[in-house]
Amino acid sequence: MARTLTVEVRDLTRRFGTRTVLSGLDLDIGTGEFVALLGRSGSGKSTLLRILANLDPETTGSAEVRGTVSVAFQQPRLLPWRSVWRNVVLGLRRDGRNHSRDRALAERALDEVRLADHADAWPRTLSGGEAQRLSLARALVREPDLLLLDEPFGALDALTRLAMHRLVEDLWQRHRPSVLLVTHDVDEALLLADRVLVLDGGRITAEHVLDTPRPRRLADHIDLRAHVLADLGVTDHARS
Amino acid sequence: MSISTLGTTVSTSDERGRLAPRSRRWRLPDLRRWVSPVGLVLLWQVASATGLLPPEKLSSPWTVLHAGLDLVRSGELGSAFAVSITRVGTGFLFGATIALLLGILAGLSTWANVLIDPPVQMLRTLPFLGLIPLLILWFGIGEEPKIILVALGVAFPLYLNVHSGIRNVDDHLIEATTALGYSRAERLWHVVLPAAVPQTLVGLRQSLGIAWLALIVGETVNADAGLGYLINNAREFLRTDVIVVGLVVYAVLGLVTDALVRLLERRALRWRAR
Repeated sequence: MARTLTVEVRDLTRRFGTRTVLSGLDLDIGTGEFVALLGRSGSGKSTLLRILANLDPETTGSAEVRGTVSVAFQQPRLLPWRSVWRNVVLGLRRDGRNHSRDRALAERALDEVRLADHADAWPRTLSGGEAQRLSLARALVREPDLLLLDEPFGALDALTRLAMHRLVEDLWQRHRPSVLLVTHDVDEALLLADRVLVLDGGRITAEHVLDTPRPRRLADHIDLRAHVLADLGVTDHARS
Repeated sequence: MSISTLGTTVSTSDERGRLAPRSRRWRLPDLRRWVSPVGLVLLWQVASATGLLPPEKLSSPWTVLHAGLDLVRSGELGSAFAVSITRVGTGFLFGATIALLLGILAGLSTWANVLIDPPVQMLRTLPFLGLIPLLILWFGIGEEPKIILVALGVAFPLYLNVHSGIRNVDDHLIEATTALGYSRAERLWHVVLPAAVPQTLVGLRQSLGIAWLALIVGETVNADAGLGYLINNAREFLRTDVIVVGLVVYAVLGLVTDALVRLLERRALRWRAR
């Protein structure tokens, strides 16, 4: 395989006290690949994401990321005292002092998430979906090689979430970063990802490659959905 | 803040509502709220005029007004005012500088916190006005004890608020900027300090209120100039009108500083408006 890798994780282990959350985990993410990571609560999904975001130094093994990384968290984590566009330039590690250039960059990023007309608003005035879009704009403005999404749609209502799926797919196709989407929503993973991974007991226990064209319809993936749910320890009759 | 970029002006009336912190419109004051205060002053005037309230206990509002005008004309009030405001200003400057330094240090560094916070927390339980006898013994009855008293009064509330403002910064915001590659110094500048501003302003308001209180006590106990001296001197001559003038000036000064801080809050915390 001659594909280039953005993420290369080998034998990664992370312990919290006596509890081993990740044990000897291996993971590759190819350049421009969209990977969804599924797992039950406490399976270590977010731990892995934090390690890739360089937020957790206490690990053994290796976790190599090539290029710049951006994260969009479940909560948008905006600086409330900075206007919307200045929150975007935060992603450039600038404060907006070089006004016209930074502003232009910010506006372009805001335009992509359809927030251009809120550039001067305060984050507090945004709705949940708008705030999350701003968080995406901030993550994308630096043109990351790896975009880490930590359940970024988890706190949104169902309709907003659907719109966000479309938006993320669209932005990914335009910018082509490698994406690691951490989620516990199987449907979301099946709609968006090239590859769906299941994390359990500190390592990856299942992998499904999807090569169906986008935009996808859930109805086309019913069988795979049952598979993935089984991987997660949920059987269909147990659900009904 | 309407900014024009790329040839487009960003400021439509629709947006205004979202941008502008809903500027408090000037409204007609509710006149009914003036009925009882004015009534009370009138009652006071009537009580004085009928002799019910003898002038050696309390002068009539009218006399007070005249005394005030006389004091202004003779320049006594002006110089007393200047002396007092210098005391408060100097004391505030010292107290606030120390409080900000210590608060930021203790807020940022675990070691500084361990070393600074316990003694400050212990000292703050001391009623600082009770220190007057000691201060007089140490510094005599010059300007120092008054300025130190003000500085002490200012320092504690400001320290406590700056300290907790910095300690309670949302870890999520710190993490978000860390993930973007911000260094410790950059996080301090972009996240920690701005996040501590609201709490610091609360502290500022408290400490300015206490600053005036400290000044009044300091000046009343011993003084040879300033508003407190004016008041005490008047007491010796049973000039209740001058005493009331002094009190009113204190009150106005307190109100004005409070209004200044609120103005500052409104500027600095625009983002808080819904």
